[in-house]
Formats: sequence, structure tokens, C-alpha cells
Amino acid sequence: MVFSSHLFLFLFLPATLLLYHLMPRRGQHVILTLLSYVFYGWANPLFVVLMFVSTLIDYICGLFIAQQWGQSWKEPIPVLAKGMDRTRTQRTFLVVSLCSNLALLGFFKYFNFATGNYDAVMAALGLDGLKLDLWFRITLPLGISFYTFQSMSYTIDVFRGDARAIRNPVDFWCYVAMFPQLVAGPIIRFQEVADQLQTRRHTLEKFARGVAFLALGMAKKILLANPCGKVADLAFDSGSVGMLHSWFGSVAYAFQIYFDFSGYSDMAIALGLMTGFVFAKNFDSPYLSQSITEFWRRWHLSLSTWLRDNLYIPLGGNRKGEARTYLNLAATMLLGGLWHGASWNFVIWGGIHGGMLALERLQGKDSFYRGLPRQLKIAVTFVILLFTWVFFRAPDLPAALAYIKSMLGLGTVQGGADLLAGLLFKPYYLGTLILSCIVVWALPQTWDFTRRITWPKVAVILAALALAIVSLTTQSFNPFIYFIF
Amino acid sequence: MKSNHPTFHSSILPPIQSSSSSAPPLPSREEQANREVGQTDITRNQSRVLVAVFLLLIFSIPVVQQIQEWRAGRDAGPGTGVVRMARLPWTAIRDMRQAPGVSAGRKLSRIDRVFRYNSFLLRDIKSFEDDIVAESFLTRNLIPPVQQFLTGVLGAGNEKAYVGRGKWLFYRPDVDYAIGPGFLTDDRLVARAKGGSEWAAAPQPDPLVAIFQFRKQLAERGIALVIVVAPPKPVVCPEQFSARYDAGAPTVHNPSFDQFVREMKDPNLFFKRWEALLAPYRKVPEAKARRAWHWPLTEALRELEAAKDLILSHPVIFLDPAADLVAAKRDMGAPPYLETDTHWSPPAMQRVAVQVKDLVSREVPLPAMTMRYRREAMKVANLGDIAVMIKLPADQKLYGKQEVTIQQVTLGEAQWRPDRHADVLLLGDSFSNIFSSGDMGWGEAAGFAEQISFELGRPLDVIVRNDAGAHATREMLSQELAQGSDRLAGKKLVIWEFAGRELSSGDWRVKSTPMKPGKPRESHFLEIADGGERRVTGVVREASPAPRPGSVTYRDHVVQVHLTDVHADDGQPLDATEALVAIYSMRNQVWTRAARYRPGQKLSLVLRNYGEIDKRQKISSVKSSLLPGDLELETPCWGEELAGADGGTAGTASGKTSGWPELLGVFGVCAGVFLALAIAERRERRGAAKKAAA
Repeated sequence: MVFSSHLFLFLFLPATLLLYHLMPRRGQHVILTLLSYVFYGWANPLFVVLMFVSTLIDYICGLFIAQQWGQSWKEPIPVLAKGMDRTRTQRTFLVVSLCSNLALLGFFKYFNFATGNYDAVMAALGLDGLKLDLWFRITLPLGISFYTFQSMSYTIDVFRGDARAIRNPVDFWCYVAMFPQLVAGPIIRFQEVADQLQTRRHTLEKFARGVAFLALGMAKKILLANPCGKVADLAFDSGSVGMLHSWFGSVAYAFQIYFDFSGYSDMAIALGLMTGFVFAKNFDSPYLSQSITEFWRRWHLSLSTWLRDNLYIPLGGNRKGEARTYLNLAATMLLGGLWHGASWNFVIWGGIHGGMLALERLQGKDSFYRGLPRQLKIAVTFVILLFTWVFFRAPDLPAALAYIKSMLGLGTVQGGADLLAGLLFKPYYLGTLILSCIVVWALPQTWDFTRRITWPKVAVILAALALAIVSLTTQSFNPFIYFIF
Repeated sequence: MKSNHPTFHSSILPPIQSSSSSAPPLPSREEQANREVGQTDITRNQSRVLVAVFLLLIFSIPVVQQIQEWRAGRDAGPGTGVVRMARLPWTAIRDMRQAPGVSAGRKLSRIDRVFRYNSFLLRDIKSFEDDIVAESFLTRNLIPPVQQFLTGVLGAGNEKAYVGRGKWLFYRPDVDYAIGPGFLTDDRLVARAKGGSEWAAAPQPDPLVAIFQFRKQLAERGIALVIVVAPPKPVVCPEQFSARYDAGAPTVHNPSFDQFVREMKDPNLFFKRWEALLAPYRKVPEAKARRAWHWPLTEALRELEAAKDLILSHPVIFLDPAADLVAAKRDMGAPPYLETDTHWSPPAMQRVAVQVKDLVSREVPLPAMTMRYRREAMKVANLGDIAVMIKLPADQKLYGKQEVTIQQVTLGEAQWRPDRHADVLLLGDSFSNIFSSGDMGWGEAAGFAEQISFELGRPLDVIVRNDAGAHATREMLSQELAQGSDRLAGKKLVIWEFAGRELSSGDWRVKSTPMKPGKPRESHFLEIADGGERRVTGVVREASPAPRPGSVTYRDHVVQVHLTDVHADDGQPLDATEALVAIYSMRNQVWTRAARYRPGQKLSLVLRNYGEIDKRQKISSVKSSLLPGDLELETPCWGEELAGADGGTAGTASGKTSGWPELLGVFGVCAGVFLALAIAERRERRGAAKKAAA
């Protein structure tokens, strides 16, 4: 189910808000969990089984790690002491949790990629007889990367002593399945919402700010991301593309992915606020970054925080010497890239980012163009990002390289390429791109905009909501980009 | 200086709490967020307005929708409310039980049952979600004005149509053909061959496989084949799409088009290409390969390899009229395509007919024949199919009707009619149907078949169907042969016309198109005699899918319905209890009730002989969807609902209004309640303040 759809806005959301707020406190998590399963099962009912099993494993592992399996339900569960040695059972159940989650993710997300690469290597070695040549493909369950990370964070937090284990299964099921952020994040770490699962306040102001977030998130998705996506699709899917058009297409894609994902995050935060939860900021005007290092402090914060706490630091972070730090950095970014999708394009994308971070670290935590004026630094960072987004968007490596050649003016332009001009430079698309530039570089991001809501802002928010709904009626199905990760 | 403790300021990540004891601890992201939300600077009234308007919006729209649906009654369709949503798991069970295969007694394993059920559930979910959008009064009311603004002011078009220069409109798949990747590149072929979904098989992506199969099939019966590719509009008129071209610009074909022509002329190139592409799979054991994406192609290519000599000795005669049409822009003094329509103009079509005649005269020896056909000029005006697809308001002024002069072909006093016994057969799509079938709105008896017949001076047999030129007409021919009617008997030439966009997006099926004459089947389905008419009642077992209005170029569509428990309403006994019924599901881009037939639904219909209606109304040329399996070989009856000849249009005719009065009503009631609550709260506050003061 997509937030920016008739079904969600005019059927699922009203029903959810009504049921949730009519329900007594004890039943709210039950109803939220059930509706979240409906929300998730809408894409494919069979995926629900997978999420249920994953949740069940982590719930049981959490209780074993907290040494509460079979204990009285009346006793409050203590937080494990930090830094203390854990028993063999505790370590075993952490490993069980990590392995089951990673196995699930690995199988459903990387099986096709792995077998494809294996076959390619066998073919290259002339060992055709050893090829697998599987006739079936594994379907990627929606949002599996998000909910496995989220579910894993529970057992890790309990093990480390960062959070208290949950005894009430409904609360845990609710945490994992919570529909606002289930399929495309932000990744909510357990320690961040553990307290809110016990107590949280529902206030009119909170709900009102949620309305503001939802309106602005929807506007970002429907009014900006979708038209930008159309331009990007035209440029990336055409047989050949000229230099100007290729730049136009990659700028459009950079805007599309930002507005699409940050719009989704805004809507997730909004729906959280409407049900009393507060989720942390996921984007902080990333295209205002003056270096790639800064970009990663502003882009998809929930993922970068997760990777930092659960990958970079356990690998040793920057505590084991310079060489090891660079290695950790590269490994974290490569795996971060691979987390996005099972394709060499994502590995390269992660590799470029890891390389840039290492380079900037060598430069004293700053960009190699640090001498430039602020605006130029922002521009250069954006151009670097444009090249990296090409790997993110292109269907495969040859297509990405061909597109980059077009951006550098080295591509072959065929007869039909100029037809693109008849589409890309329509007032609708040009206007959307100009508006996107204004929103990205001149307007505050959603958190800042909604910090102080005045009457003119109320009008802007309601106008954005109305425009988004009106525009929604004329658009075809446009799922969010991050649904496939 | 190296530090011994974790500091992450130089890491990939956002700065976090410092471990230095002197530095104040930084709040976590969640703490920051909590603090942020707690400090939202908003007055209570602003909060109320935001929340009230939002809730009004999301609650009133479904409420009004429900009011509308209740008022419209069951005829308007299965509904789009929570009740239908909650019933989806059960409707999927019902659909699964009634679907052929399960009910026929085939045993499925438990796992298979689960997957099958899941696939039915997914289909119903998709259908429900589509209905919500299509049936929404919001969509119905907002699309026309919004689309007018987007098209007229911003030049946006929609997902089916692109806005060109001036008053020109373009069909998106046509543009995609011209700007898209080469349709014969390995990546593209493999990607398309691996496509498909739970309900639709992957397409056969290579047009040459189908063309050579057809060439072989016809060569075996000594019939020549001429292929005519109707060029997509942007190929010939790119200057009407982008200012970067001028009127003399060469054709803008897909990058693979030249290769396509080369391989058609020299089939060895085609065989070499596929040999290289399938080489990595040669060693795969057949049992394994049978389930792989390349198996249908491997099988088809094996068949072609076996007949390689025949194919090489009987070349395909090919006509690409694009270059001539570009040159014709000057001669004709008018663009060769209609401004707001997908198709060519009458003079352009006549010009292509002349080219066909020249080609046939040169390449195919036909016995001499001179029929005395005449042409009569006639003016017709219509709004093009692309303009209809944009869904503008009925009274829009953006695009007017275009007037063209068609040349009606007559024989004596009668309009031109196809002749089943002619030695030339034309297979064509909407490029052949336009100006020929009155349903398309551009006049009749002046289409491509009529012009070719006029130029050749001989009668023509015709099989035409709008859309899907890659396979539809070959399948129709194949089915007729399988039913025992040898349509190819006595034929010397087949002219196969299809739209150029099919090359890159068509499904060039080869498995469903054997050209083997069969024996007439014994049918246990109801048959209506010529001139007969029966009133019957039956239960829908299965209905073929109907496209949504606005999503396709054609105006009319026919679905097939499998009826069971059929009994007569007129008292006379029937000789069968099952019937296959063809019935309009869309007329002039508006759904009829037949578009919504669901398994289990009871219907009362008037049934007539299909052939008789086809002769009068050219039903077979209307785009239709068929039911799969053996039903494809049955001859349907023609059905009409008792309510009206067109089956009754759904939606507008079923009592649905604009919805605005209801919306205003709901808004009014909600605003009243909200006001009352606000006044009550204010009084309470005043009372509390007075008490406090006291």
C-alpha cells in the first residue's frame, strides 16, 4: 500500500485513525499491529508470513538474551548491565537472531544476484557444466531490508544493555510491524522507541504537526518527486541521450530520490505523530552539504546511524589505526551500498562514497575543494552526487557507464534523441525542476518549517495538501523508490 | 594525535555524544525529535483548524463515495468501500473454486493451493485498488479540469498521451518506440522474454521469429507474404513533436529498425544472432531448460531451423512506407498523420496503398482481374483517439475536431465489402480499420483494405482487429483454421499490416498461431441460428478482462463471458446449458455493465448469431479479450443486456452524480458539529475562568 494513494488516504487512514483513537489504551497496539499486517500484506499476502516468523524469532531471542524466558510476567524486566560479560546462552541467542535475520535478508535479497554471478564466473571459466541456470527467481519481499534491520536492532540493543527486553508480544509485534515506517523506513532502533511503546502522549498539537508533516511529505512526493521521476525515466530509459539531456535527467533523478524518500519519511513521521509516536529526523537538507562527509550527516540518518552503531564501531571504527579506519570506512560503505540492492551498481555507488569519505578524511575531514566559496562547494558536492546517482538509477553497469559517457559528451547520439527535447522542456517539467531547486536550496526542511506554525503557514500546509490530492487524481501508480530496498 | 577512545566526528556518520567528560552530552536523535515536537510553536486554534480540515477531508470523501454507491445500487458495480475490502479474502476463495483447473477436478498440493490462493487474492486486491481510483467521484470530477490545465497551460499530457507542438498529440508507446532502446538488442530481448507476471505470460519479444514462422507457414501452402509496417507518428512527423527537427528531417526509427530490415532480408543474420544469444544455454539439460525463460524461443527457433531452406528460398516482401511519407509531406501539402489521432491521414494511407500495389505487381504474380471499383470523396470530422485519452472536459476547446476527406470505395451502388473467397488476404490493425469501420468515428468503407482493393482492382479478404497487430490477427486466422474453416484456401497472397510500435512493445506469439486446418468441433455450447434470437438467463463462470476507458486507444471493446446454468426465459427449451457470449464492455470509451461481470453473477441476456451481427456491425474488428483454453475454439453468441442494446453504460447511467452536493452536505454537518464543540468548550473555559476569578 502506498501512502500517496486513494486507497490509503481515503480508506485505510480514516479507518486506522478511527479504530486507533476509539480503542482503549490496551487495545491500541493490537489494532495498530493488525492494521500494519493488512498494510504490509496488501503488496503480497504471503510476505506477511515471513515478517511474522522474523518477528517471532527475535522476540524469543530477546527474552533469552534478557534471561527472561519462562520467567514471571509480573516482574519488570531489568536492563542488562552495560559492558559486562554475557553468558554463552545470551551470546548464542544473539547469534541466532543475527544469523536468522541476515539469512532471511541474504536469501531473499541476494540469492538471484549470487547465483547470477556464480553462473557468470563459471561461464567465463568455461565450466558451463557447473552452472546453476536456475529457472526460478526469488521475489524480493517489500521492505525486508528495513524490518530485518529494525528487528535485529532489538536483540542487539537488549544484548548491549541499551534497552529493556519486551515481554508483551503485542508491543514487540507492533514495534516491528508499525506501518508508518515499515516498508521504507526510517529505520527505528528499538532503544529509540522502547519508552514510547510503554507510554506516550496524544495531543492536538502533536496531531496538528503530524498533519503538517503529512501535507508537506505528500506534496514533495506527488508534486515534485513524481514529475522529476518522469523526466529521469525518459532520460535513463531512452536508447541514446544527448549531453544536455543526460544532465537534465540526472539532476531530475537527484531531486526525485530526495523528494521521494524524504517525502516518505515525512509522511512516516506524520503518521507516527498521529498515533502518538515521535520518530527522529531522517533528512537534513542533504543537498546543502559542502562535502560527501557532510552529506552522510544529512542523508538517510537512520541508516547511517544504524551502520555506525552496528557495523563501523564493531569493526573497530577509528580506534585501530589509520589503515584499519580506512578499511572499516570502505567496508561500511560497500555494505551500505549493497544493502540498497543486489547489484554491482550499488556496490560501486557505495564504493565511490567510501572512497570520497576516505579522501576527505585524508584532507583533514574536509573536501578536496575546500578552498572554494561555500556556494561552489555545495555545487561541486552536488555534481559528485549526480555521478553517483547514475549508478543508483541505471538498470545495470553498462547502462550506467553509457549514461556517464553521455554526461561527459562522449556518448553516441542517435536520430530519436532529439525527440526527448520535445518532452523534457515542457513548462510542466521545467517548472517542476525550478521549483525543486528552490525547495532544495532556498527553503527550510520540514522539521524547521513546522517548528513554528503561523496562520500563513497553515494556509501553505493546507494548500499543499489540497494540491497534492488534486494532483494525485491525475497520476498513475507511483510507488516509492525505497520500496524495493 | 590519535585518540584511544571512539570519536566519530571524522566518521561517515553524524556527530554523536562525545566521550570527553568535560563536553556536555549531545542529545540522541530521538531526544532531539521529542524535544522538537514538544516545542512546536502553534496555537490551539491553528491546531484545531489543521486537524479539522484534514479529518474532514479524509473522512468526508469516503463517506460521500459510499452515499453515492448506495444510491446507485448494485448495478454500479461491486463497490469500493471497507466492506468489499474486508471481503476480499473470501471473494478470492470463491474465484479460485470457480476458476477452470480447480473446479475441473485437478488435484493441487497444499503448497500449490496456497500460492494459487495468494495469486487470486493479489488479483482481487489489484482490481479493488483500481476500482477505487476509477470509481472515485473525486477522480471523475477532478481529472477533466486538472487535465485541461496540465495539458493546455503546462503541456504535460498524461501517462498515455504526450503533447506535441501546436495542436498535435502523440501516443506514448509511439514515442517510446522512437526514443527507446533498440528492440533487437540482446539485453532488451532477454529482459522482455523474462518479463510477465503472476497473471500474464512473458511476451515473445522478437518480431522476426513470428514473421519467419508465418512466412514458413504460408510458404508451405504456396502463399506469398507482404509485410507493411505502419510507421508510428513521431517517426514520420518528428517536427510536430520537437522543434529540433524540420519538416524535411529523415525518419526517426528505433535504433534496431535497420537491423530488423537487414535480418528480414537475410535470415542467415537472424539465425546467427540467436545462435550466439542462446549458445550459453545449449548445454542445459532439456528438463531444466523447459522451465527457463529461453525455452519458448528455443523451441520456436528449432522449428525455424528445420525449415531454414524454405525460409531462405521464400523471402519476405517488406514495405516500410516511412521514408515515402516523409517525402510526401511536400507533395500532399498536409501532414501525413492526423493531428490528435494515432493514425495516418486518408491521403497518406492511399499513398501507402499505391506502394503496396506497386510492390505486389513487381513481386507477386497474381492472376489478372479488373474489378470496377469507384471512389467517392466524402468529408468527415472527428476528434482523435489521443485527445479522448487525455480525458479533457466534454466542452473543451483545446483540441477541435479535424476535418478530412476520405475516399469511399464502392462497387456499383454498394459500399465495398470484403470477400472471403478473394485470393488476397489482409491482416491488419487499427491502421487498416480507420476510415473503414464507422465505430472509429472517421467514416467507413474508405480504409486501407478498400484502397488496396481499389488499387489492385481485385477483391480482398480481410481480418482486422484494433490493437495488438503483433499477434491478434494471426491468432484469429489460426483459430478459424483450427475450427475447421480453411480461410487460407485459394489464397495467393497475405498482406500483414501492423503498427511499427509493435516491433518494440508487441507480443509476437508463435505458440498460439499454428496454421493447421482442423476438423469442425462438436460443441456443447449454445448456438443461435442465423436470424434467431433467444432470451436466456445464466450464471457467469468466467469473464475476460476489460480495459479501463482512457487507458487504450480504441473506443470500443468486447469481452467474452462463459455462462453456465443457462436456461431460456421465453419458455422454449435450449439444446445446451452453457454459452460463450461476446458482449460490448466499452462503447465510445465508457464502460458498459459487462465490464464488471464477476463469477457467480446471474445475467439475463438476449443472444443472437455472432456471424450475422459481425456482418452488419464488423464486431470482429473491435478489440476484444478472449477466455483462455479450449474456449478460444468455440464460436460465441452475440449478447446484449435486456436493459438496452449496448448493455447499459456503467457509472453515469447508474445514478451516480458529481458528488459535490453530498460533499458539501457532509462538510456542512461536520462544520456544524465542530462549531458546536468549539462553542461548548469556550463556554466551559469562560465558566472555569469565572470560577477561578471568584
